Amino acid sequence: MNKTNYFKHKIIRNFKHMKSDFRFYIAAVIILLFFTTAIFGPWISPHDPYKTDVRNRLQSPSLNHLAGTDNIGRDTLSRMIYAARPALYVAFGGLFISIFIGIILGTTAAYSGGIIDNIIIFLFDVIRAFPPIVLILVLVAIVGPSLQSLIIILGITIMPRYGRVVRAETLSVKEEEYVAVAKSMGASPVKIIIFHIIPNIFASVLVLAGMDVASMIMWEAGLSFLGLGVQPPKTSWGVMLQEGYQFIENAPMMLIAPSLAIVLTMMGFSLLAESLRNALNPKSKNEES
Amino acid sequence: MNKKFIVFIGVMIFVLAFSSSVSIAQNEMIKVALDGKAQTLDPAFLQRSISEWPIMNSIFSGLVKYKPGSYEVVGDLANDWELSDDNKTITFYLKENIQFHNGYGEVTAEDVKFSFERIIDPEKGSPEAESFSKLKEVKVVDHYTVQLILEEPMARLFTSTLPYNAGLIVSKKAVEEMGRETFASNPIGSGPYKFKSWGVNNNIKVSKFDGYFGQEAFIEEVEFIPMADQMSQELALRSGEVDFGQVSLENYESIKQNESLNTETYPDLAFQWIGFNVQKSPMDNPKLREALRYIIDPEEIIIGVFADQAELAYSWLLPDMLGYKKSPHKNLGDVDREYVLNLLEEAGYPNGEGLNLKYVTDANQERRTIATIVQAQLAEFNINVDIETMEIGPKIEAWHNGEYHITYARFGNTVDPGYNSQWFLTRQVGNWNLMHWSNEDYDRLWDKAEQTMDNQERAKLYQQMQDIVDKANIGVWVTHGVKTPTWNNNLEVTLTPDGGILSWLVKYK
Amino acid sequence: MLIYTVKRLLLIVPTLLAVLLLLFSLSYLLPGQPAEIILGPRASDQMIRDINEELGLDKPWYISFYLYLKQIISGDFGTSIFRDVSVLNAVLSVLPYTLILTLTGMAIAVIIGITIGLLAANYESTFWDGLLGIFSFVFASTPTYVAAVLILLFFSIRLNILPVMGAGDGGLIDGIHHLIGPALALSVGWTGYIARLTRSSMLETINEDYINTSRSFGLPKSFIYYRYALKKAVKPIVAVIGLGIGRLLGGALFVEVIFNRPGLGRLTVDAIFERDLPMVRGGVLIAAFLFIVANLLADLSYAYLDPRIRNK
Repeated sequence: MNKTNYFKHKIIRNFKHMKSDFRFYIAAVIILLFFTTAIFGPWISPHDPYKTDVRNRLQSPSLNHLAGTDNIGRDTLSRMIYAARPALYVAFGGLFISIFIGIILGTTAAYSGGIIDNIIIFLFDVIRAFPPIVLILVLVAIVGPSLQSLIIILGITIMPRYGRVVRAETLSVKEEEYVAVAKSMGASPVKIIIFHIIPNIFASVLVLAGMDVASMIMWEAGLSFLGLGVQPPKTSWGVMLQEGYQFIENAPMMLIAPSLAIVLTMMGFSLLAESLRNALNPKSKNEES
Repeated sequence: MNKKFIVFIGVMIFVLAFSSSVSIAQNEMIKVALDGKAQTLDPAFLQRSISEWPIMNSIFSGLVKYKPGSYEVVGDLANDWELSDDNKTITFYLKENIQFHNGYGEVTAEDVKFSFERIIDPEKGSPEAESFSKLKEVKVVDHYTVQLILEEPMARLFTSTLPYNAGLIVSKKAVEEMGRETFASNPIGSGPYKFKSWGVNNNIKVSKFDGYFGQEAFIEEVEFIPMADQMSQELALRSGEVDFGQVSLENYESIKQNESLNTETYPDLAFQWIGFNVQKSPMDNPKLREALRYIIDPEEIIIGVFADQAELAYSWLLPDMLGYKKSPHKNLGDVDREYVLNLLEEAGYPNGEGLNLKYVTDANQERRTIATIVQAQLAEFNINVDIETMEIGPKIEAWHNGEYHITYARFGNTVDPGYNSQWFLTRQVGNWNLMHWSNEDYDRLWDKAEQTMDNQERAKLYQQMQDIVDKANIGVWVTHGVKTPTWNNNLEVTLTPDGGILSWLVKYK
Repeated sequence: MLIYTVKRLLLIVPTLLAVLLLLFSLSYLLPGQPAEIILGPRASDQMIRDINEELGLDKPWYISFYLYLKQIISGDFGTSIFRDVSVLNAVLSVLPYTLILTLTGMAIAVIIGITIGLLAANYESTFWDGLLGIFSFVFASTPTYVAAVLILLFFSIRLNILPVMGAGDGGLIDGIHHLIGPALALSVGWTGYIARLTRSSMLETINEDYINTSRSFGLPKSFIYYRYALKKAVKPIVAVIGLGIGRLLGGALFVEVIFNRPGLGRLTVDAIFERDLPMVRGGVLIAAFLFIVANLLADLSYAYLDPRIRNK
């Protein structure tokens, strides 16, 4: 049986499932909004988010400034739009690192077996043993706070999940006949990984990834809020939350705007992950991996 | 079964509600919010921090002190003092029978000698050594008489050193018995309050010392609570969780309306400014510096960061200080844009393009916002500013090494103009001279002023110094800052001229 | 079951060791001279030497690590750099606050979450189900810190019915008053999650055959519901509680910072900002330990409830 064809069939079938799921549409709208904002931010934002206008600080929402101004007169809405980019970078950069390292370690573990396998599993377990917040904090303390360090640290923290999935899948696929056949025909392990393993884990990884994008956006905002992520004057939703917290009484919009952005974006990706999960495994609605 | 249960719960609630009212009666304790955690309570090893002063003030006494509410120097432990003719020897006559806390005996000349000599001892590495820079030694003449021997006359000895942290007297017996480390968190002084406890949350409690030689404190216990966050202090004041603290400048107006709180603005004694590192190219170009002085508008900083509650500074000295001279700001509105653009062009940056400056500052909210404002102002002239925020340690390192073009700093002032002007000296380059600027005339004038005891003469010298600095265009003065001491309406407080609390003078109305 | 338990217990040791190793290497991995960074340039040589000794930097790392392990085993977690307290004392004195906060938060989440979930399942496919579903979903997608600042904004500042900060120190009632906002904030995300889990779990159970059979025998719906269905549906929730404690510990950190409460999270964050390494190590170690224990208990209770593992 040709695995690639089967894979294609699966995708088509799943997509049909999702089309009838109303959640998918809502998710799609939100996510589309997110991507548009992040990518085309500079074009759609009404003002220059860096332009200060100190004498018009802390204004309530008005026609000119739909979300009011912040403590040095910058337009809150424009800042909110520009801040979508770091969220995008962190979420997808971190995810990319997680999946990439996860695949490398997972397949290595499965192929090598023995001690290397045990070491890698142990590594996974150690990372999972830390409460995530603590691991992230400690690593940030070492590396120093910045957007880049967040991407790498979040990537490493989430990686074990993907590593385990990849490893499990690799182990099972490894033994199958067609793989032996492929091997005897001279296919290298890398090719096997790409053509056989990845299609199989694709589904689970996709669902995990959906949830993890939401998580990463949440972490970036949380850490930046504490002052351990993106450093002002660079902006991000978390940074805006911190600034809004300082001015919570004078300009609550400074706090509400990024809150809405964060929650909405997280909801979008969670919805997507859920409709994916329902489409792919209609029975198991409750499992948490 | 159900009924019994309900009755049981009812009784429990009743009991618990009662227990919450069994706490220290309000009369006996006030809570004071401090701007930062105390690092140590040993005056000789305090690193120029401002947070500890209200505590130190309560626990220790000095030879002299500031008269409450002013900067007039009056005797504290000392009854009287005499200066020798050459102004190099000062003899202090101590009051008799002043007791240290916890039975550590009488305050004698030995304690004075011990307290000061540990500061000037190079082995001990005291951060306060500079405050006693001209002190050679301390001589015990008799039990209650002690002499300070100076290498040269030191004008600021009385204005800033002795009445302040470095001049506090510790119990020699206690330090020797406990060892320096234990003493640092179990201080023994002779002040109106004695140290009670230092909790794990860094709250420090002091309780009234019954054997105090002066007017006893009114309030039984004071708890000093560190709250670095201005918003926390404000919220705590509003909810009654602390009795004294600062409120944010943003909300100052609305706090004034609050019935249960009293608040006032007090000018802070400090000095905040934007400094140019004249040794790092292209800041060595005077035309560029002049242009920057026009472009940077400190008024916006005062509006944006200080909620327009602070005053613009026209010098590093305060308006009522000896020797103050107002150096006018360079406002963009006074000249036209052309003029500034010309300066930039002459400096080699036509239209400001190609100019990249590095701005180093602290990692806290306020400093970042200031940096952002400056960055935006310079961006109007196409000048690019890279802001680098650092923790205090690395920032001071950067200051020493001069790895920046622009920086922002706040230095605490004292009442003495000489002390306040020392940061521009050549010998402070690589240390606290953030502009890395050196000027022989300035140095010469400063040295002379240090030894001039006649106030008028001294004032003239400082005015000349301010002129020199103004012409050199080495920075932009921003503000002296403002404090917003706020306290519970049922208290009567006495404050220092810069809005600090004198805890032993606080009483209930 | 016993073997499973023992196996899991044994696994704790090497995991903790690895955690310790990572924490220990903090002092070596921090860029620059740790002592100077921490104390600033005014530090005297003596102070620098003291710090280096405390951090173990004056010896080769394996010796220092060994000594550090010995220290930990004997119960000495080191001394805070900035104050004269032992790290262990500092941590233990704030730990109760964090535990109370976390447990209360979990309790609220469980009680309200299960209630909502049951209601939703009961009114399946009606308007109420949809509405509750939306609420649950929004709650589940709200990060703890967002919930915390919004609660602070609306209940403490705008409406003034909750205190804005601290843990209160005027007795039990005051303490509870100070606990409401933080615990609510902490519970929001998990409430949503548990609500949805309960709903789907209940629905799944309801539709199983043997339940239908009991129905056909004429037993009233509510009776079946609460005796049989609930027992079965509770299992995934129990598993999730253990997982949740770990996540709540993380959320507690934000709540403590935002509401200015004392606690393990606040202690650790402050220590990180101040670079008080011994305190960071101590705080993180205890937090990791709690997390591992919580996970272990969760796994064990799930294994206990699952007869397949129990009877192995």
